[in-house]
Amino acid sequence: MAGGEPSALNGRKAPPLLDDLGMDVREFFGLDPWPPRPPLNVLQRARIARGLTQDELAEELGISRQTVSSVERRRHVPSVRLALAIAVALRGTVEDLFPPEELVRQPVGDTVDKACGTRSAACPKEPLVGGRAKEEPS
Amino acid sequence: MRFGWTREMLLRPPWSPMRSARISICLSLDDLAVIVGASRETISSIERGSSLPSASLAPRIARALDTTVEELFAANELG
Repeated sequence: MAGGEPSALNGRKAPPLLDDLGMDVREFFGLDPWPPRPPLNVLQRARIARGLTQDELAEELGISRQTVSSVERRRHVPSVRLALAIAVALRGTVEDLFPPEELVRQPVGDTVDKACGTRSAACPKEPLVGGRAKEEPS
Repeated sequence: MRFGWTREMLLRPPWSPMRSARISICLSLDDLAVIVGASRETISSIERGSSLPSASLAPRIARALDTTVEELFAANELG
């Protein structure tokens, strides 16, 4: 076959593969996917309810898809400017899309909380200070 | 030079909506810092507009000031 001459498609667009849809074979046939998916958080549900993919949301906001992905998985806490842009794009509010109980990460080790000046046993939930989630030491 | 409050100052005060909201409920910078769990310097620089809070701090500030994040930070021009 010579390159650049698709015969079976006859100029039409190829149908999407299961990978493009983000689906498992079992999911395609209406079964539960394996391995089981983690439950979606508020931000992911809001995006899917708007019928947007991560790529489309990233293009609408002018950011990269990796940023959208890490914000959705709560790996990265965005600035309030980006959070407001996301809230406008998804027709929600910042309070609903970024609930504090999902953003707060459990403290690692014995750290002094600057907010109340006591040990972390007295402050079991350490607030995130700054724009980026603290990386756990590996 | 005109002294006192002009109409423009009353309609559009030169400070941020966050400072207006904080002063209107008689909170000091230290009070708000303790309530939201951030340092006084952080709160001060956010109020002056020289920094932006994160998406985890902004809802806590908005809740402490009894407003929404949109009202406090939607008009913020500085990144």
